[in-house]
This record gives sequence, structure tokens and C-alpha cells, in this order.
Amino acid sequence: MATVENVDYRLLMDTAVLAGEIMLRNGAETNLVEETIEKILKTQKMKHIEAVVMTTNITATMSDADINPITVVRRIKERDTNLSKIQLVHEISTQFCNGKIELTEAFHELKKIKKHKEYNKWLINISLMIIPPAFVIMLQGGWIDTVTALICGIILVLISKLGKKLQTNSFVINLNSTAIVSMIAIISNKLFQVNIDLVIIGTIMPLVPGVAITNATLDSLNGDYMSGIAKVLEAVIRAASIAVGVGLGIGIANLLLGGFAL
Amino acid sequence: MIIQAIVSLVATLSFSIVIGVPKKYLLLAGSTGAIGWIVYLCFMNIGYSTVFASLLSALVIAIISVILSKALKAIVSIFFVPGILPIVPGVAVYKTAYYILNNNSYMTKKYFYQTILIAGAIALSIFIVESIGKFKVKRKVKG
Repeated sequence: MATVENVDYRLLMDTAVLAGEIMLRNGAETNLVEETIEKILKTQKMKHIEAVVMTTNITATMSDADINPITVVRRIKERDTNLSKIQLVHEISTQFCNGKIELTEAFHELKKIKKHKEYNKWLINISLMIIPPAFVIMLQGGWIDTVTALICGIILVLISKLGKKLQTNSFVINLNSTAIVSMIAIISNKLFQVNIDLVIIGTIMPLVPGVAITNATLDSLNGDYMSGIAKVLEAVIRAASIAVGVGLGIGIANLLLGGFAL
Repeated sequence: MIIQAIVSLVATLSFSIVIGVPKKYLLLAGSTGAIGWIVYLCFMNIGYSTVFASLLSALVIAIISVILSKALKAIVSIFFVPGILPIVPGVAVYKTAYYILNNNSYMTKKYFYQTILIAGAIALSIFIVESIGKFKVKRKVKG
């Protein structure tokens, strides 16, 4: 264990909070983020170590008799899901706590993670296209439903690309993509007797906030009520964007086709 | 059933790529989803309700992902999040929205409750299994 003189406490704190920030930004549960920050800070025998993590911010503080208390607050504005980055942070923090790598090395490794890309863009886009037709087959749809779902998947990718270019939020992207997909489903039902329900369900499956709902319940059961309620709200907003989108799409398609009953 | 297994494997694999599961765990994450979907289908065929079938298959997925994460020193989400993709309440969410549009409050309530119950069942299963996993580790350290 290093003595007080040769440890840069500020760097230790920066490393811990950076690790937490990357994890939270990429969709880790608050529990895991708190554990990681405390694990890194506990490598020094401090009197007080506290890490409070919520869905949108990180607060960490440490103090001892010899040093001034160090407190860091980070605000997380945008969140995404990228499990490989969380896994990398987990590996680095474990290595650091087992004494396999030095503090500075750990800090630089963490800095590198921000630019890390596990898969290239095209693979991700193609995967996103495949999910809707796969779900239609899983729900026992016919081949024409599957083809329509594939077209819907392509539209899903195109709209999310467009949304990223225009820098809108996910609510608008989800709303627009589900609206257009439901319009296509209804129009193709008119033309080729496609099963509307199956096509729409298959396409919204990757958008449904299943992970958010699960994490919300999980956080609440762990006694983390603030994060729990924040994630419930996130899930409700996402579900609402999908529901509004489906409603809009069906409504507009009805207007276009004129008096078509649901 | 074999087609279902392959297609659910493809779906979970694609979803794993979208959410960025590390390459080395990709196939394991995909298989977890396929196994969960097959378990779900089996219980549905026997005649259990959607919610109960979801609970049982989520339990299986949770057990598999906790064991894998302990064995490979990875985080649980890598296997659990892709694994539950086939059983998340997408159908129930869609039906809720659909019946709200149709002004059918009875069916809306039914599917809204189903959404909440399925989500709760999934969360409960991973909570139970994770708690048991942590409990075992602490006993090992003590003894």
C-alpha cells in the first residue's frame, strides 16, 4: 500500500469518477457505478469515502486527517447503451484494485475507452434492420409480413441516422419512426393483406423500454428509490413516445386511405 | 421449434451488436436469449399464462447470466439484457396503445396490467438470482 506522500489523491479521485462517468453514460445500473467508484477509492485507507450516484449525476467525496476533503460532482447529460465500454471499465478497475496496474496507467486506459468502438457502424445498422423481421418470424408471421418488417427495419435505421444528424432527442426519433412504420403497416395491409399487429410489434420490439423498466424495478428493490423513480419515468416517456407514434401513424394512414376501419 | 430457436438466436445476436456486447461474449449472450425464448415457448405450450411463462423463463435467463458472469468475471448485464429481449413486454405495450386509440378502457387496463406484471416478473427474477449469487460469495469469504 502506497504511503501518503507518493499518492496523487486528486488523480485517484479523477480516475474513480471517470470510471463512474463512463459506466453511467453507457447505461450501467447505479449500484454497479457506486460499487466501482468506492472500490477504486478504497485502495487508499481513507477515513471517509462516499459515492452517491443517480441516473443523471455522480457525487463522490473522500477525506482523511492528513488531506483536505476532495469532492467531485459530475453531471451526465446524455445516456446510451454500450455494454462493451462498461465491461472494459469493470476490467480496468478490477486490475487496478488487484494492484496489477498503476494509477496513471489506469487513468490513461480509461481515457482511451471513450473512443473505443466494438463494432463498426454498418454492422450495427444491419443488425438493427434484422431485428424486426426476426421478431415477426418468432411471432409466427408469414413471409410477406417478414419482408414488410425488413422494410420497416431499414426505415428505423434511416430515421435514427437522420435524427442523429439533426441532433434531436430520442423521443422525437422514436415517435417519427413508429409513426411511419405504422403507416407503412396499414398501407401494406391494404395492398397485400399484411398482418398490421405483427409488423408494428416486431418493429417496436427493439425500442420498447424493457431494459429501463427492469433496471427501474431492480434499483427500487435495492433500496435506490431516487434512481428507481427516475428510470420509471424514462421508461414511461419512451413507452409514451412509441404509443403516440403508433397512434399518429394509424390516424394519418386512416386519413389518407379514407374511412378505413381499424 | 428449431426454426424458432435459430431465429431468436439471430434476433438476440443482432440486438447484442446494437447495444455493444463485447465480441468475445457475443455468442454466449445470443444463446442465453435463444434458451430463454425456447423456455418461454415451452411453458406457453403447456398452457401457462404469459406472465407466469415470462417469470419462469426470466428466472432461467437470470440463473444462466449470473453463473456466466461469475465464471467469466463479466458484468451480469452483458448476458441478461440481450437474454430478456425476446420476453420484454413489447406486445403488451403495443396492445395498450392500440386499445387506448380504440377507446376500449377494459382492454387497455388488461394489457397495461400485463405490461407492468411482465416487467415486474423480469426484474424480480434477476433480483432474486443476483441476491442469491452475492450471498454465496460472502459465505465463501467468511469460511
